[in-house]
Amino acid sequence: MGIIFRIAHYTIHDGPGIRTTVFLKGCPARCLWCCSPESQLAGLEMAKKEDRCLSCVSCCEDPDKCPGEALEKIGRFVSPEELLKEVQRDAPFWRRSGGGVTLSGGEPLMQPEFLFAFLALCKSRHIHTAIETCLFCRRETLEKAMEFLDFIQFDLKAMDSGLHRELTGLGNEAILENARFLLASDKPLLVRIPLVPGCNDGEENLRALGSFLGAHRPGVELEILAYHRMGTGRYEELGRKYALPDTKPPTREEMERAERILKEYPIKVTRQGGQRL
Amino acid sequence: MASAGINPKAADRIEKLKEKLLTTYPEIDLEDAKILTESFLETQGEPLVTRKAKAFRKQCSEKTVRIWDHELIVGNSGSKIRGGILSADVCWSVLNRELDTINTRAYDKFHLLPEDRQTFVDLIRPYWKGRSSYEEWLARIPSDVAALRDNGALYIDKKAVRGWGEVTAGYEWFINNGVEGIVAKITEEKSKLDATRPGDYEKEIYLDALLTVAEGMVILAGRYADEADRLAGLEADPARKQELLKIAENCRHVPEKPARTFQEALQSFYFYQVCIFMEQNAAAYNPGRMDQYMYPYYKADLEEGRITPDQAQELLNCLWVKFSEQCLFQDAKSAEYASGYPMFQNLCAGGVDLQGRDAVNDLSYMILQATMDTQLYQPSLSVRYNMAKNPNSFLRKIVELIRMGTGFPAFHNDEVGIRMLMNKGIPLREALGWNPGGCVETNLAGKLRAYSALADINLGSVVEYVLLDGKCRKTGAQAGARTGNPLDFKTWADFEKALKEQLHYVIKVVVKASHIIDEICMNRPVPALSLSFEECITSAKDYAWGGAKYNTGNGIICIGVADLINSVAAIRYLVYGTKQLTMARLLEALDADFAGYEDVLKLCADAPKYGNDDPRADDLAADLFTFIADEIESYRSKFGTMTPGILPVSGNTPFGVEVGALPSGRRAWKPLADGVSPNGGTDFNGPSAVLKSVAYIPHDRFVQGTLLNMKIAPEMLETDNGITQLMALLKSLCSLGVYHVQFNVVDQAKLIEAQKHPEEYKGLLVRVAGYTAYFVELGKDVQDEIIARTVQTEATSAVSC
Repeated sequence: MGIIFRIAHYTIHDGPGIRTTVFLKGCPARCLWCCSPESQLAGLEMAKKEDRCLSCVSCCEDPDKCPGEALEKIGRFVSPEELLKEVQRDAPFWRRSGGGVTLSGGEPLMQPEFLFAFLALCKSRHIHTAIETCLFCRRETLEKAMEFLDFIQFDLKAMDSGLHRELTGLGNEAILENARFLLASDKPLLVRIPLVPGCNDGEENLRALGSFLGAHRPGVELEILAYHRMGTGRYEELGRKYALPDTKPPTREEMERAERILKEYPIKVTRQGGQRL
Repeated sequence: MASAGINPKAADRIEKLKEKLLTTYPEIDLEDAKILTESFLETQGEPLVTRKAKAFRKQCSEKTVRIWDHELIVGNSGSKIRGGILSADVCWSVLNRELDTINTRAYDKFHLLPEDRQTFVDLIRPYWKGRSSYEEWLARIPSDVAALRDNGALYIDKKAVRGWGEVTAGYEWFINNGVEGIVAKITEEKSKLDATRPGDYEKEIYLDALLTVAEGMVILAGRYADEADRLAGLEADPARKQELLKIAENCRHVPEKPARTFQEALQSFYFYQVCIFMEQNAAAYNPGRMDQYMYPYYKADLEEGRITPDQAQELLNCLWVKFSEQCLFQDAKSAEYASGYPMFQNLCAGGVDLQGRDAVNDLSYMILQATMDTQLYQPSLSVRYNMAKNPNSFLRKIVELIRMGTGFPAFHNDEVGIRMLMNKGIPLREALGWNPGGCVETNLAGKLRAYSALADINLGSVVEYVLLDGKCRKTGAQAGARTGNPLDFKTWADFEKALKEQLHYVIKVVVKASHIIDEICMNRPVPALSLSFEECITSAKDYAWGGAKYNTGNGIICIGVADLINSVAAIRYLVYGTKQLTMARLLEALDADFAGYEDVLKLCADAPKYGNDDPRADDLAADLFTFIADEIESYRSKFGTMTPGILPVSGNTPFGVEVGALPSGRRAWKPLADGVSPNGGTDFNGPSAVLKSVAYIPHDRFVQGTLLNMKIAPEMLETDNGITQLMALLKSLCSLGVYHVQFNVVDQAKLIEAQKHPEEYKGLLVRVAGYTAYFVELGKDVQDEIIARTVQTEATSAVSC
């Protein structure tokens, strides 16, 4: 069994074609800007919408019984077979678009046994598979996953291990090691960096990123994702604090600046978000 | 917004024409009715069709003829831009009833000038009193039909308050042969007659009426030519003078003779469009496959160097403005069911030709471009998309138009359209030439007669009748069939039986009413329209009498599809399945509109819902709508098998006002679902799940079309990838056998609405940076941010159905 917290249908930015994205619950990192805090813990959780809470004398703590519908259960356990059955309902859309299933999270590689079993099922049915990962995992896990994956998206949030630890709670040695290995392979890839003002948008970090990618796979696509604050409400519902209360999404100029710097390296740079800010 | 795609001078012309249009307030236009009445006073004793034809010729000879500044294609069915034309012989009394309120009513207001009011009171009313189709209908309506109508389960008056419409005339035949060629054909048929043979005298009368109408058309064109010459004489600007002289030359040639150039073909087309609208005010005179019948003219002009693509585009754009000059006049009630002065001049591009080959040509793209350039509410632009044959570049152009957010084009899955025509009894070799008509109905130019949307059935009422043993909740009246006390329905099978009996009853009553309307319409000949139906000439039989090559029974339209499915699914699941709810408690809760029964409301709201790819609801969509199609098709009229369809125009809103709370969790008096779309706010799994559910409806059985509305946020179409994926979505829709979709690209105003009423916008996806989310699930601050960044589209709002 695996634990997931959401399935998104008709996603168009998580790999080629029209995709069905499965979000697995549990993540080794704690990125300051994380937009889905409900993805972090590997177990079931409950969120509470304060504006709906009727303040009962004693809380039933059961989302199914909550009279104000303020409580929400986050996470559910599924078997690989059940999950396959659920996502396969979107098959007509994959066929026409060259799409398929994307596993995201959280960190999907945190549940390797479940992941492998599910991916093996997908491959036995010729379903296109993709993953979004932070690459914080053992090499064997990555290598095994690669056998089943048609497309891999990964993030490089900071090139300096100290900075990486400061921003995400994790050092990046293993991540860079895995990235090198992947970049040297012939696997179709997309690399992304979430551009978070004041955190990882310094020129030094951007140059280190550009030169790393250019050295290990010239021509690889790097997508700059504008930082956004879409998940802030979730923190309140989970009773947690958002670590970047005052950070603003990058302006168009800031996005363009990052793009300009990165374009000096032999890689393909694209942008997402921030166009209209 | 500036027009794109054509040169600045052409764009400026369109802007000026549009400006005049958009600043004109609709006004009742009684000139045609006045001339008609005067003519009828002169022709007493003559056969009805002769009188109609003579009145038409008199209108052509006497009506105001004006050419507006800047226009290149001329003609007007009345005397004003945006005039509401009254078909006095059909429905004079509608205006009578609304004389004081026509400019204050809720939908589709019209100015009524004092002098027009006087004409109406002095001339029109005294003559037509007791003589209109509408009065005939009111006098004949049976009590069971009236009971359904008056208790909100049925809307059926619209055919009695306006003319035929819902037809695609034989434009191609008309333009290619000219009036002259058609007259030759009529004369030939006449020469075969022998007045001593029974029946031939009637035929002679009819063919003479057609000749009279033909004469009128040539007179009218000649008057436009004279007017253009007159204006050219006064014109100081040499360029405009040349244009006017060209218009004069065109009008002297067409429609009398076969068109020789693209501009003449467009002019001939528009004259005919004006003429049939003049003959009878109605919605949905569908231009049909213009990219096909205009292409030979365009191609020849190009090859001869007579025209450039830019010039052709400008002419099309000018024609598009003309389409928007028409304004449908209808009674206040009908306006509620189809608001926005909807002319539904459905014009189509794409599809396959009669040999089954890809029919997309340069004009197909230019037709889409004309709608992009003009951004007006007419014509009602449709595409036939044939996945196997039409190129990707055509699909891409379609998506580029969709993203502009005007609601156009209506996207039709060609293969399903072809099957619908075949299911109407038309052989494949001709079905390949089908075109969408009106909203999403199926039609065949110059060959097919029927009211494609005669009556609307309220499926919400049907559910209510099952639960109240045939009573209407709002009025308490016994309107439906007595199908028993629901407390006695011990099993799901008992309930299902009652439901099907109720559906059977309502459909049967509607069929009976349709037959009566067919009888009344025998007295509503339309010689100007019939002129382009070749078989009307060879059989000397009017369109109204069944003279067209193919005739079918009228269209019976279902409204409240999702309400029916979700209500029945909730009952099956809660009362007979999980038994979480008793029928008694459900009935109490519905009676109280769920007030004090919040737990029941929650159960109902959480029950399986259509639109989520959930077989527990979707299976019912397949079962019930196969049953409904079977029922409707089990009846025949004197013209052919009765035909089912699912298109709401805007009828789901007024129908909703008639229906109390439903087991689906819908509160009393709220709008019903539109078309085959899910109930607002009950689809949670995105567009792919909606399409999967919708695919359970047997679309090809509903031969008058099925209508699906989908909402999409502009962010989804911002990038090249977004466009590519929407193209893939549309192809998937075709694979699933869904017939039609039109997209509402949600603008800023809609998002603000969604923020205020999240329950109605639960399924609305927005593109957030890096991912896609349900708008209503985002926090308010985030919503505000998305609202702020959503560009307000300033396109003139398009009315689609």
